[in-house]
Amino acid sequence: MLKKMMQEKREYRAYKKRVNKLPEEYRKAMKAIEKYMWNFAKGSGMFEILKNILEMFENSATDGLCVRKVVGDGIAEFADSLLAEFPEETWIDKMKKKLRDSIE
Amino acid sequence: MKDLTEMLKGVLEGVVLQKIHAGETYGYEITKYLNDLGFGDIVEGTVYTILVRIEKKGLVIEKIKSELGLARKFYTLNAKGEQELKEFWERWTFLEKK
Repeated sequence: MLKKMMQEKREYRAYKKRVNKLPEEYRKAMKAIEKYMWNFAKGSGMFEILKNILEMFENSATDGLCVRKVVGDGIAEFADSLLAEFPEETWIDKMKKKLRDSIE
Repeated sequence: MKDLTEMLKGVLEGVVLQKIHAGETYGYEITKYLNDLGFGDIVEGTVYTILVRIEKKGLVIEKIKSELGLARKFYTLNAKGEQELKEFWERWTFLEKK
């Protein structure tokens, strides 16, 4: 348990470091997405999704794309579409299941 | 073309599968391919979401290659992906005939 916590902390620190290395506009977007997505998180599984976005951002920045070219005009839609792909990581999914189970 | 994306949202997955079918590729390359096809408003993030879905459905083999210290994912269709692509075109032809 403690070992797992320490491991997670280490991973989180490594993640933060990578975020801080991003070009400013990407860093801003990444932090905003992070803040937004944690609101829906059921547990630490959301971290995996965030790490994957970070990886994409790193690649896009290297490709010389500006952040708008990556998330388009709808950064919220981008975040929402990803959340939709990972319903198991959100609490809203649990609520929806409860609602569904309320009728026979 | 404007507003094409909205109409084709559900179809994009098939088009992306088609591109991967043509040979090992990665996100940015797929985005450029779609832009060249005329999907002007497709951005990297859209393709990324589709790739995440395709990955989750288990339709691709991913290979991570690193360049400049960064990891980039390359995709190839597996048997299940090829089957899905075949079914996609069957659905498409079905619609076309209506």
